[in-house]
Amino acid sequence: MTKPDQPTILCVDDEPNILSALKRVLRKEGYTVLTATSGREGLALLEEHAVQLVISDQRMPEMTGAEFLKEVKDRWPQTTRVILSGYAEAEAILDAVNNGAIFKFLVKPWQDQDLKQEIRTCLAHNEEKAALYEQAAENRNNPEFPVVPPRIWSHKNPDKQEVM
Amino acid sequence: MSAPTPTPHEPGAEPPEMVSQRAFLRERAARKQAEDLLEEKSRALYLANEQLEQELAERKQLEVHLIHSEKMASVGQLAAGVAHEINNPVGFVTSNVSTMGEYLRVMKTVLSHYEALTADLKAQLEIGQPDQTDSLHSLRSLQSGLLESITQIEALRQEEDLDFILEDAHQLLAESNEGLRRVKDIVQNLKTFVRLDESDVPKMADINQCLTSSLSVVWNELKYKCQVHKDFGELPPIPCHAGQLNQVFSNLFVNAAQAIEKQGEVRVSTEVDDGFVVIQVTDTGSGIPPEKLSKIFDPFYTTKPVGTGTGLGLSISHGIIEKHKGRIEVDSTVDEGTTFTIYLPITGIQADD
Repeated sequence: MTKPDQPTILCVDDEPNILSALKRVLRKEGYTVLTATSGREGLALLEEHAVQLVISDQRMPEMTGAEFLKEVKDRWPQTTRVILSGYAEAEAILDAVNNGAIFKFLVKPWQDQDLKQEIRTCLAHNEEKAALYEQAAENRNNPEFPVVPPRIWSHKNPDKQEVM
Repeated sequence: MSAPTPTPHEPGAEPPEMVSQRAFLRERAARKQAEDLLEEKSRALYLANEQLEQELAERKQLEVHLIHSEKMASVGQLAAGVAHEINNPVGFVTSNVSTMGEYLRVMKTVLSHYEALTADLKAQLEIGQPDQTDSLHSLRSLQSGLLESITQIEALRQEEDLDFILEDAHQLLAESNEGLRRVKDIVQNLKTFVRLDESDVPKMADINQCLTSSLSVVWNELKYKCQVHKDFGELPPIPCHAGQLNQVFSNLFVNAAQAIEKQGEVRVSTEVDDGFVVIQVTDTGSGIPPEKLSKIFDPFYTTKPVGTGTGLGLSISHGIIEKHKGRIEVDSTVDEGTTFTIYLPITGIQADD
């Protein structure tokens, strides 16, 4: 499902129509887009696929976006996490920032062009982070402490793989 | 001889007409005094009455303010939910419309290629018709030219995902339509809920309809936690202040949802029983312990965390139901749930109530 040279984005929202709209926006952007309608489903996808960017709604049944992203942060710290929400009280934003360590808080309704730009920014950030992780792994230089290097890719041109 | 002669003018003795005159005067004085007293008392009574009436009016005014501010507080509380409910559909509809523009651009591009192909075909048909002598050669070159154009178009269709776009356009429009319908419904329900046109005069309203619109306004508070079962009996319309009753109902629904911690059920039922419309709202939430049960209708009594409740909801609900000559009852078991039952007389509320 995931192509090795494309960044993978996971979108989580309990509203399927939002997911199809997001898929449409990202259709030509050269990403692999995974979708899930609940936090639990999202976690299951993360177990199977390497994901660089997770975009989640805040208000969802069972598991809120902040709760979901907290678990994502704990288990897959190299992901970049973003909330895309229609409305959130201060409490939910605090929760998402402090516990989910989100990179951005985006709002619905969104402008497609802006959203694409935000996603590019997020992926660039993730790329930098991945490079730092790799650097750290090299510096550590300890075979008894295995660090799996994250996949490196370029968001600018999905066909060309950049090696840093 | 020495018999006492009655003196005609004994001291103290008066002629009878004088006596009656005096008695008359005395009586008049007494009457005057009584009348003065009466007037004084009735004046005081009048003033007291006037003051009472004024206080009553002030109290009524205060009550109106209180109901209003509670309503504002709960509206504020609901705003978050409603904003979310509206921004979701507006979000995907906006995005879909912009995607549709992109689809249209692709369709136009492909269509222009087809138009070019048609023009080529036409031109070649016109050339081909009058002269058929060296037909084989020109037919071959014509065919290869056409084939090339067709291959180009096929490639373009593939590149632009035209088949997907044509398929998805329908889906996109259906989803957007659904989104717009939802926004329309929310606005409609909000309007029914607040009853902007509400006056002091009670109007005929269908309680089932009130419950439905209240339920949809607070839906965002319920949908993630509760399964809602509606069991509505047939009800006659009753004269009432529907806006105020909506306030009562939505308050009960929000309470029910807040009593449920993770997942639960909320049951709403209505029926007519012995001249009363009976409305029951049952939740499978945490329940209310007996020692707290007696306090729940007290103003400012709340067990909710700061910022979640005003402590006025149920006391104001109680007031509103009382104003409708009805009554509200509660029955609760800890860890099992709570049932609120409202009885509203079918005769409803009259204009001067």
